[in-house]
Amino acid sequence: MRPTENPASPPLDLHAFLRTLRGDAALAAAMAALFLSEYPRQLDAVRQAVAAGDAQALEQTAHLLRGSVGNFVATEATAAAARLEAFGRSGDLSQAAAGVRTLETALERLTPALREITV
Amino acid sequence: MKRKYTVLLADDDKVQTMMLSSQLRARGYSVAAAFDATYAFMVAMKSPPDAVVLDIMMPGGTGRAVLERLKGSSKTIQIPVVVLSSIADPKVVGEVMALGAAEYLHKPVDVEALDAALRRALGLPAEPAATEPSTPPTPPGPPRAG
Repeated sequence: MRPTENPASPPLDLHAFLRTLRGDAALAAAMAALFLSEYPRQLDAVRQAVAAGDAQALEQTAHLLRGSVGNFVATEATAAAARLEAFGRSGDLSQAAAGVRTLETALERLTPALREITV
Repeated sequence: MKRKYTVLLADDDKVQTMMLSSQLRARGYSVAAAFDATYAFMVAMKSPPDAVVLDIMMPGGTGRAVLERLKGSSKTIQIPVVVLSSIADPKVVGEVMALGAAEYLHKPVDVEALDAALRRALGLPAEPAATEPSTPPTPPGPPRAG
């Protein structure tokens, strides 16, 4: 079982996230809403980079997504994006398609948790 | 009257920029944001801020190129630049510091660490607020009776 499929593992550490914001729930909601509107485009850019076999583009697009999702202390999604960034940096994209699926799964798990924050 | 320091956040991560903008404003800074390298340099040239917080990997050119251009212009050479990046490669850190960055912070960054770095870069005391008196403080009056 891949780490992103572990139902016992929460998709984000909400307490740690709120701690970085000094408990500012309104800011947390605004950040979550912004991420939910932004990440599909970022993920699509990652997919396109992998499909095109463009290692440099993969490094850049995965880097942005890693930083963005990392703001939420979302360990699995951050690790999945970091792995893709590393593939791009190394130039070896042989595992990149599987890496994209892992990232997609992690983001699918993260999305409802972020939607709850925005309410 | 107190002076408000202006900070330009140059980072393509809009979520982090939203977070840091809000937190730095709460600490008394005036914040502008740029989401790509070209725009960041343009903003810095048009309205030079007191400090720049600069990401290294951005679209429209690298943050490193922005740093080089800022340090290569007489208009912006004095502006302290705090680099904020998730790149931990010591070689990159060394190159960026050699280009004239004031500090290099690793993402994710806590606002207190960023505030402290900005204060050092701006030559401000460590605490408590991101403002300083523009006139000397009023001396205390004579002691009151009772």
